[in-house]
Amino acid sequence: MATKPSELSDADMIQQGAEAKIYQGQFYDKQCIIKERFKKTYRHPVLEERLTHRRIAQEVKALLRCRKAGIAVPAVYFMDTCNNCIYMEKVEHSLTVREFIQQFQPPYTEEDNQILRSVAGKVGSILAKLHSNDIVHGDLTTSNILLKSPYDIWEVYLIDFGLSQVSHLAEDKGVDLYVLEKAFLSTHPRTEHIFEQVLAAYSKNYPNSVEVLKKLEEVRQRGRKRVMVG
Amino acid sequence: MASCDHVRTFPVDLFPNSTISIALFDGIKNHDELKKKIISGKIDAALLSAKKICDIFQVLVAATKAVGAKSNGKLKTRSINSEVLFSLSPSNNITESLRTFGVSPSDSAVVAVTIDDFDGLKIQNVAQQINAEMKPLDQLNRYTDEDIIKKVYKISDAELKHSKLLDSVATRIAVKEFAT
Ligand SMILES: Nc1ncnc2c1ncn2[C@@H]1O[C@H](COP(=O)(O)OP(=O)(O)OP(=O)(O)O)[C@@H](O)[C@H]1O
Ligand SMILES: [Mg+2]
Repeated sequence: MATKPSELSDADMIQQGAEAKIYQGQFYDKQCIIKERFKKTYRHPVLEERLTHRRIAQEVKALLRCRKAGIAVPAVYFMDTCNNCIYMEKVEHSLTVREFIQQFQPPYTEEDNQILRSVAGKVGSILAKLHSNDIVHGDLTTSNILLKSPYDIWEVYLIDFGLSQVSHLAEDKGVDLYVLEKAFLSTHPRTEHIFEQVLAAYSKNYPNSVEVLKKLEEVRQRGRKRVMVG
Repeated sequence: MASCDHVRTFPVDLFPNSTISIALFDGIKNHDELKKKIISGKIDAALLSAKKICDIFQVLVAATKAVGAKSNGKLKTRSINSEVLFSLSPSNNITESLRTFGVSPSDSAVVAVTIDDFDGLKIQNVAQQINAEMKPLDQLNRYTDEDIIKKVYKISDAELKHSKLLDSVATRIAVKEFAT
């Protein structure tokens, strides 16, 4: 199996990112998502191989760690190490938080706000659980958080752990939240009041959050300074 | 001779020249004899303790890994059959894995797995030697012991709040090399 698996055709590709292609497929009787990390040709081949391998290792290690901590993540079915592919459970009947928020058009009605805040709260408490288990996601965006229907229950799944690490440092967790805040507010304008709810639920569910939120504030200020200087 | 109607054969999509055949037997009594036949190679199959199997998919995940290891020249055990047992196990210790997932005197039910059994002769041979009754595969769950599975794979109740047992088991099998 040294070549690209023949059953992965471009027709089944659902997303092409900078470093990964996402296919939809089947593994025996299960619907699955196949994530293929490919090499960026401009980098050194040996280095590249090692980097790709590390990303994949980081991704599946985090998936296992999360699952053990009781955080909803896709199951892994098969690792094709020759082709740098992860075969994982397709989270059925789901959409990304990004797609979910985009269903609503600002200005939000009071009812919209209620629904959006409730989802934000769920996201915040999952992040609290993630960080209390010393898992730092590394790439928190609204595309990397899935909501599984039925939508009045909204089970939150986390995905895309290729940049994750294990860390107990408040600084790392603060940066994790900062990355999400940036992504959230730039992707979804005028949602400050919704993101607030993410942080509120985060603090409520994570005893060490005070320290992390302090770091978040520091990182924000560094960010602002950088903008003023640059 | 036992009927072979209940054998199911699955083509392996990832390794198109391979197949995985699975059958379930109950009522084993000749454990010592079976063990000898496995060691001497008279039985060309992996015989799994049915208690530790919660779904055919669990077997397929492990067997696909074993087929992959063989095709890449990376078998970690002596044969494809022992590799199926080793792949099923969350442990990196081969002896321990074979002991945990192989047939022991306390097992009455066994899941037999044959790889690349294109003419069905391997599984037929198992049926002849095993001296037990072949059962439909959909009866597998009757023999499953979920508590043992949770213990062997170290699966907590917290994890099972957001995951089916099968998904927890499959993930551990699939990512074993990455779990340090
Ligand atoms: N297990 C899954 N179930 C359902 N949808 C998924 C799953 N994994 C990925 N997706 C969909 O595919 C998209 C891209 O997946 P993912 O975020 O893992 O890759 P990526 O962003 O290209 O990776 P990276 O940022 O590491 O390069 C997700 O935003 C989601 O819409
Ligand atoms: Mg992503």
